[in-house]
Amino acid sequence: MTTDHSRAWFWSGLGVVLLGVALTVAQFYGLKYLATPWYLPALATAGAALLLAAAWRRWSLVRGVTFVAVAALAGLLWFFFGVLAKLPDYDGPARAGSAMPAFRAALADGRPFTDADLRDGSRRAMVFFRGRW
Amino acid sequence: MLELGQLDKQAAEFAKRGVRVVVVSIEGPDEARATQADYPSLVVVSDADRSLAEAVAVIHKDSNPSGGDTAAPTTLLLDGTGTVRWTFRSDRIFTRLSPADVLAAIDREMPAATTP
Repeated sequence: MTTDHSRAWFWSGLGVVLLGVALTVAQFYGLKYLATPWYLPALATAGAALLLAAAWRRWSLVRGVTFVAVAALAGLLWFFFGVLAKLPDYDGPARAGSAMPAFRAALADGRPFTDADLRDGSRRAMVFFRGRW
Repeated sequence: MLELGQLDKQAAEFAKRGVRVVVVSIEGPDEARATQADYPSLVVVSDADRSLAEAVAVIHKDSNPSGGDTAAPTTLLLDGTGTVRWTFRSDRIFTRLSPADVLAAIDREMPAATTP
Protein backbone atom coordinates (compact mmCIF):
# COMPACT_ATOMS: atom_id res chain seq x y z
CA MET A 1 0.00 0.00 0.00
CA THR A 2 1.39 3.40 -0.99
CA THR A 3 0.61 6.74 0.58
CA ASP A 4 -0.78 9.42 -1.73
CA HIS A 5 0.86 12.72 -0.88
CA SER A 6 -0.77 14.60 -3.72
CA ARG A 7 -3.36 16.29 -1.53
CA ALA A 8 -0.61 17.61 0.74
CA TRP A 9 1.33 18.84 -2.29
CA PHE A 10 -1.74 20.62 -3.61
CA TRP A 11 -2.42 22.50 -0.39
CA SER A 12 1.26 23.15 0.19
CA GLY A 13 1.47 24.66 -3.29
CA LEU A 14 -1.36 27.05 -2.57
CA GLY A 15 0.09 27.79 0.86
CA VAL A 16 3.49 28.69 -0.55
CA VAL A 17 1.88 31.14 -2.98
CA LEU A 18 -0.16 32.75 -0.22
CA LEU A 19 2.95 32.90 1.98
CA GLY A 20 4.64 35.01 -0.69
CA VAL A 21 1.69 37.41 -0.78
CA ALA A 22 1.62 37.64 3.03
CA LEU A 23 5.36 38.28 3.23
CA THR A 24 5.08 41.02 0.62
CA VAL A 25 2.28 42.75 2.51
CA ALA A 26 4.25 42.44 5.75
CA GLN A 27 7.40 43.81 4.11
CA PHE A 28 5.82 46.94 2.67
CA TYR A 29 3.05 47.72 5.14
CA GLY A 30 4.46 46.23 8.34
CA LEU A 31 8.21 46.57 8.14
CA LYS A 32 8.01 49.40 5.59
CA TYR A 33 11.09 47.92 3.96
CA LEU A 34 11.36 49.22 0.39
CA ALA A 35 13.16 46.53 -1.56
CA THR A 36 12.16 44.35 -4.47
CA PRO A 37 10.42 41.24 -3.07
CA TRP A 38 12.08 38.68 -5.32
CA TYR A 39 10.77 35.94 -3.06
CA LEU A 40 7.26 36.59 -4.39
CA PRO A 41 7.84 35.16 -7.90
CA ALA A 42 10.19 32.55 -6.42
CA LEU A 43 7.52 31.28 -4.04
CA ALA A 44 4.89 31.40 -6.78
CA THR A 45 7.18 29.23 -8.91
CA ALA A 46 7.69 26.80 -6.03
CA GLY A 47 3.94 26.71 -5.53
CA ALA A 48 3.40 25.96 -9.20
CA ALA A 49 5.89 23.09 -8.99
CA LEU A 50 4.04 21.58 -6.03
CA LEU A 51 0.70 21.98 -7.81
CA LEU A 52 2.13 20.31 -10.90
CA ALA A 53 3.34 17.41 -8.79
CA ALA A 54 -0.09 17.10 -7.20
CA ALA A 55 -1.84 17.15 -10.57
CA TRP A 56 0.68 14.71 -12.04
CA ARG A 57 0.17 12.27 -9.20
CA ARG A 58 -3.60 12.41 -9.27
CA TRP A 59 -5.24 14.36 -12.06
CA SER A 60 -8.40 16.41 -11.59
CA LEU A 61 -9.74 19.43 -13.37
CA VAL A 62 -9.43 21.57 -10.24
CA ARG A 63 -5.78 20.62 -9.81
CA GLY A 64 -5.02 21.22 -13.46
CA VAL A 65 -6.70 24.61 -13.57
CA THR A 66 -5.07 25.66 -10.29
CA PHE A 67 -1.64 24.70 -11.59
CA VAL A 68 -2.13 26.62 -14.83
CA ALA A 69 -3.36 29.71 -12.96
CA VAL A 70 -0.47 29.71 -10.49
CA ALA A 71 2.10 28.99 -13.20
CA ALA A 72 0.72 31.91 -15.22
CA LEU A 73 0.87 34.11 -12.13
CA ALA A 74 4.49 33.11 -11.53
CA GLY A 75 5.37 33.90 -15.12
CA LEU A 76 3.70 37.28 -14.96
CA LEU A 77 5.48 38.10 -11.70
CA TRP A 78 8.89 37.21 -13.17
CA PHE A 79 8.13 39.36 -16.20
CA PHE A 80 6.92 42.25 -14.07
CA PHE A 81 9.81 42.16 -11.63
CA GLY A 82 12.45 41.33 -14.20
CA VAL A 83 11.40 43.57 -17.08
CA LEU A 84 8.59 46.03 -16.36
CA ALA A 85 9.79 47.15 -12.91
CA LYS A 86 13.39 47.61 -14.01
CA LEU A 87 14.70 51.16 -14.01
CA PRO A 88 17.28 52.26 -16.56
CA ASP A 89 20.79 52.72 -15.23
CA TYR A 90 21.55 56.33 -14.47
CA ASP A 91 23.51 57.93 -17.30
CA GLY A 92 22.71 61.60 -16.67
CA PRO A 93 25.03 64.50 -15.93
CA ALA A 94 24.60 64.52 -12.14
CA ARG A 95 27.72 62.54 -11.36
CA ALA A 96 30.16 62.86 -8.50
CA GLY A 97 32.35 65.91 -8.98
CA SER A 98 30.09 67.67 -11.49
CA ALA A 99 28.18 70.87 -10.87
CA MET A 100 24.41 70.68 -10.91
CA PRO A 101 23.09 71.91 -14.26
CA ALA A 102 20.95 75.03 -14.50
CA PHE A 103 17.29 74.57 -13.65
CA ARG A 104 14.27 76.45 -12.39
CA ALA A 105 11.62 74.78 -10.24
CA ALA A 106 9.41 75.91 -7.35
CA LEU A 107 9.15 75.25 -3.64
CA ALA A 108 5.81 74.12 -2.24
CA ASP A 109 5.00 77.69 -1.19
CA GLY A 110 5.53 78.92 -4.74
CA ARG A 111 8.93 80.54 -4.30
CA PRO A 112 11.43 79.73 -7.03
CA PHE A 113 14.04 77.08 -6.47
CA THR A 114 17.00 77.19 -8.86
CA ASP A 115 20.53 75.90 -9.21
CA ALA A 116 21.74 79.16 -7.63
CA ASP A 117 20.04 78.10 -4.37
CA LEU A 118 22.28 75.06 -4.28
CA ARG A 119 25.35 77.27 -3.91
CA ASP A 120 24.30 78.82 -0.60
CA GLY A 121 26.67 76.72 1.50
CA SER A 122 24.00 74.24 2.66
CA ARG A 123 24.46 70.56 2.04
CA ARG A 124 21.52 68.67 0.61
CA ALA A 125 20.19 65.21 -0.07
CA MET A 126 18.02 65.59 -3.18
CA VAL A 127 15.52 62.75 -3.53
CA PHE A 128 13.47 62.36 -6.69
CA PHE A 129 10.23 60.48 -6.08
CA ARG A 130 7.55 59.19 -8.39
CA GLY A 131 4.60 61.07 -6.94
CA ARG A 132 1.85 61.16 -4.34
CA TRP A 133 -0.25 58.35 -5.85
CA MET B 1 5.38 57.94 -0.27
CA LEU B 2 6.62 55.52 2.40
CA GLU B 3 10.08 56.78 1.56
CA LEU B 4 9.18 60.38 2.35
CA GLY B 5 7.63 59.43 5.67
CA GLN B 6 10.75 57.57 6.67
CA LEU B 7 12.97 60.51 5.70
CA ASP B 8 10.71 62.92 7.58
CA LYS B 9 10.96 60.83 10.75
CA GLN B 10 14.76 61.02 10.62
CA ALA B 11 14.80 64.82 10.39
CA ALA B 12 16.90 65.12 13.55
CA GLU B 13 19.63 62.89 12.15
CA PHE B 14 19.83 64.92 8.94
CA ALA B 15 19.82 68.16 10.91
CA LYS B 16 22.64 66.85 13.09
CA ARG B 17 24.71 66.48 9.93
CA GLY B 18 23.64 69.86 8.60
CA VAL B 19 21.93 68.31 5.59
CA ARG B 20 18.60 69.45 4.15
CA VAL B 21 16.45 66.81 2.53
CA VAL B 22 14.95 68.11 -0.71
CA VAL B 23 12.30 65.92 -2.34
CA VAL B 24 11.37 66.52 -5.96
CA SER B 25 8.60 65.26 -8.19
CA ILE B 26 7.23 66.46 -11.52
CA GLU B 27 3.82 67.00 -9.96
CA GLY B 28 2.17 70.40 -9.81
CA PRO B 29 2.00 72.95 -6.99
CA ASP B 30 -1.17 71.52 -5.43
CA GLU B 31 0.45 68.14 -4.92
CA ALA B 32 3.64 69.81 -3.65
CA ARG B 33 1.66 71.76 -1.04
CA ALA B 34 -0.08 68.58 0.11
CA THR B 35 3.23 66.73 0.32
CA GLN B 36 4.78 69.61 2.28
CA ALA B 37 1.89 69.50 4.74
CA ASP B 38 2.35 65.76 5.19
CA TYR B 39 6.12 65.92 5.67
CA PRO B 40 6.98 69.28 7.21
CA SER B 41 10.68 68.62 7.79
CA LEU B 42 11.34 67.98 4.10
CA VAL B 43 11.86 70.68 1.47
CA VAL B 44 9.29 69.81 -1.18
CA VAL B 45 9.94 70.95 -4.74
CA SER B 46 7.42 71.02 -7.56
CA ASP B 47 9.14 70.48 -10.87
CA ALA B 48 6.02 70.60 -12.99
CA ASP B 49 7.93 72.14 -15.90
CA ARG B 50 10.49 69.32 -15.61
CA SER B 51 13.34 71.81 -15.72
CA LEU B 52 15.23 70.04 -12.91
CA ALA B 53 14.24 66.47 -13.78
CA GLU B 54 15.25 66.92 -17.41
CA ALA B 55 18.45 68.74 -16.50
CA VAL B 56 19.64 65.77 -14.45
CA ALA B 57 17.99 63.18 -16.73
CA VAL B 58 15.70 61.42 -14.28
CA ILE B 59 12.50 61.38 -16.33
CA HIS B 60 11.09 57.85 -16.52
CA LYS B 61 8.90 57.74 -19.60
CA ASP B 62 5.37 56.27 -19.44
CA SER B 63 5.87 55.04 -15.89
CA ASN B 64 2.89 56.68 -14.23
CA PRO B 65 0.08 54.14 -13.73
CA SER B 66 -2.35 56.97 -14.48
CA GLY B 67 -0.53 57.76 -17.70
CA GLY B 68 2.45 59.95 -18.43
CA ASP B 69 5.91 60.12 -16.95
CA THR B 70 7.40 60.21 -13.48
CA ALA B 71 10.75 61.06 -11.94
CA ALA B 72 12.73 57.86 -11.55
CA PRO B 73 13.66 57.26 -7.91
CA THR B 74 17.12 58.79 -7.68
CA THR B 75 19.09 60.29 -4.80
CA LEU B 76 21.83 62.92 -5.12
CA LEU B 77 24.09 64.27 -2.40
CA LEU B 78 25.05 67.89 -3.03
CA ASP B 79 27.64 69.92 -1.18
CA GLY B 80 27.32 73.60 -0.35
CA THR B 81 28.69 74.67 -3.72
CA GLY B 82 26.06 72.79 -5.70
CA THR B 83 28.49 70.06 -6.66
CA VAL B 84 27.24 66.49 -6.85
CA ARG B 85 29.05 64.27 -4.39
CA TRP B 86 27.17 61.00 -4.87
CA THR B 87 24.38 59.59 -7.03
CA PHE B 88 22.15 56.58 -6.45
CA ARG B 89 19.56 55.12 -8.82
CA SER B 90 17.33 52.23 -7.75
CA ASP B 91 17.45 49.17 -9.99
CA ARG B 92 13.72 48.48 -9.61
CA ILE B 93 10.74 50.75 -9.00
CA PHE B 94 10.13 49.13 -5.60
CA THR B 95 13.60 49.75 -4.24
CA ARG B 96 14.51 52.84 -2.25
CA LEU B 97 17.34 53.85 0.00
CA SER B 98 16.38 53.72 3.64
CA PRO B 99 17.14 56.83 5.72
CA ALA B 100 19.97 54.83 7.31
CA ASP B 101 21.39 54.22 3.83
CA VAL B 102 21.23 57.94 3.00
CA LEU B 103 22.80 58.92 6.32
CA ALA B 104 25.57 56.38 5.81
CA ALA B 105 26.20 57.77 2.33
CA ILE B 106 26.39 61.29 3.75
CA ASP B 107 28.91 60.19 6.39
CA ARG B 108 30.92 58.33 3.78
CA GLU B 109 30.76 60.59 0.74
CA MET B 110 30.19 64.02 2.22
CA PRO B 111 31.60 64.21 5.75
CA ALA B 112 31.06 67.67 7.21
CA ALA B 113 34.73 68.40 7.82
CA THR B 114 35.62 68.16 4.14
CA THR B 115 32.76 70.10 2.58
CA PRO B 116 32.08 73.82 2.45
